[in-house]
Amino acid sequence: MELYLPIAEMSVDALALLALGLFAGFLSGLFGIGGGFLLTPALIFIGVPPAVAVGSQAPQILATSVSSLDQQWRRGNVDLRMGAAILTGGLIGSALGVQLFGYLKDIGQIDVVIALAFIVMLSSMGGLMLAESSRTIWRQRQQTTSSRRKLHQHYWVARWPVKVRFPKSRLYISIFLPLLLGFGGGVLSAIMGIGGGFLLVPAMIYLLGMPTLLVIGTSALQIVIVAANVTVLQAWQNHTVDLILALTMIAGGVIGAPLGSRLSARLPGEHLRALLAVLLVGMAIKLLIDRVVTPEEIFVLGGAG
Amino acid sequence: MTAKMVLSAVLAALLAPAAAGAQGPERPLSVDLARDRVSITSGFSGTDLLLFGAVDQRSDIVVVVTSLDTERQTVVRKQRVFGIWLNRGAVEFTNVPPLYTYASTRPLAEVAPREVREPNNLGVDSLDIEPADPAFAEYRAGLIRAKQRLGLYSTLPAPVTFKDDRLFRTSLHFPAELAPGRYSVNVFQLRDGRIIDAATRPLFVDKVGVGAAVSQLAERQGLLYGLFAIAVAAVAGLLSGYAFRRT
Repeated sequence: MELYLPIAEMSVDALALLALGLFAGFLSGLFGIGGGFLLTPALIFIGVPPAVAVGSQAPQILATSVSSLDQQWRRGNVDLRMGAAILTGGLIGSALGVQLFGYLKDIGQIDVVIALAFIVMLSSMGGLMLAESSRTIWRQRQQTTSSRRKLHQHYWVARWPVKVRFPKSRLYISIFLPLLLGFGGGVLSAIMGIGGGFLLVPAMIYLLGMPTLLVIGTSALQIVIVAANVTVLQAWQNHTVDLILALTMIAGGVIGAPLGSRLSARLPGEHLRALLAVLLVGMAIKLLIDRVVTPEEIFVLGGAG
Repeated sequence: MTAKMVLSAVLAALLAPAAAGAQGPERPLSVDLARDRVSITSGFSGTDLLLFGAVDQRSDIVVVVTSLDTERQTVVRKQRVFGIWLNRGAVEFTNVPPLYTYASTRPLAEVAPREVREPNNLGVDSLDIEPADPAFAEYRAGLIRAKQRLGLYSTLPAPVTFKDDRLFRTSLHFPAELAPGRYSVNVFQLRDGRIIDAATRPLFVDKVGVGAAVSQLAERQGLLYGLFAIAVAAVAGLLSGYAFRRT
């Protein structure tokens, strides 16, 4: 069944789009991430203009994360003070990101930037997670009882100035840390069409040292508000939000997410993380190969993949 | 530019026989489209449009469909840098017809010589796309190939077939990527490599239904559309959350 996308001005197979949304929803349920990292490249692959793929991703991210935010909020797992700091950075970053996106689209470089950003992001995150989880799995096999773990690691960032107290997270850190983190996440959501959860969550745990319980809720807050900001700005300034495309993916995601979370309850956490890491690295390799193999056509329309 | 040229060719062709006598047997090239409007609905996946017509005797017929609204289009060239293909050099063409599709009784090169094809925009090679600088010839060719891959420009002409010596018909194909706008269907009658008559029919392409509502809101009220998108997405996300938590 063909479905016409009014903003992309093309028609796609509605079932393929639903299946894509379902698969992304399944992954988000399974791993607790947005699935945007998978959807953006997949949409571009089926011929959706990169600009529209990224722009239409924002409402889909909003829909997948808003329910998680709602749940976490009720359980009191959102550190509002930290959230406000990250969000301040996030709103500025995403607003700038949308401008940058428009500029790159105009000069015909957006597809290259999107692809390279994905390659760097996916391979570094996937690589780190793979190393981390294989180490943990290895340790579990060895059955060695390690010494008592510290609350969190202190890195060089702990010496940054303008320290602020975040009582709920029991942190006393530089205000620039959450600001910068939010800013980076915001820029990436605008340019790559991702929520940034797979980047934000580890950074909040390892870099900021937040308690994991609060990370899920607080990152959901950041993701939802930034996705809303990106949706409005992309729709308003770049005209790249295709609501028909977004709604079809949301419909698929709604079915896929609970299936994923049901499965995730049965799988051990470390193995789940290793699986996600493999998936991220696999996607990065696929994108890299696409960029390395000699293309059939060296002249392409600006903004096309 | 394109439209003007076509128009002048059409006028010249129409005026010449008119001077010879209105009822003359030399004349009537008469054409019509099965529909003069293409509606892009939510299930639109491209369409075929029948064009039919009559002439006094068998001759060459060339049908050209082109957009009256041109667009700006950047063409970028990929280049390998440290093993990775990046976009280098870009050329912006200013008056690119979003669509250029044509039909002909025979290959264009056999129907008319270059001197006739060029001023009348017959064939993709005759399109006047600015800048016409020969330095950008490769980019121009790349642009045309890209449009052809999308099905927006014809690679080969669709056949024009004669029923008997006077009635002809052709089926024009429009892909799903068709942009809404005003189009012009130009029909040329040629004999011995010269245009002896021409006719033109307007064609309107517009979006209808949900798609039309969405794209109109998106274009005219971007901010409102963005806020609407947020509301719809949030409600869909929250509702699904509640629905599945209960089960």
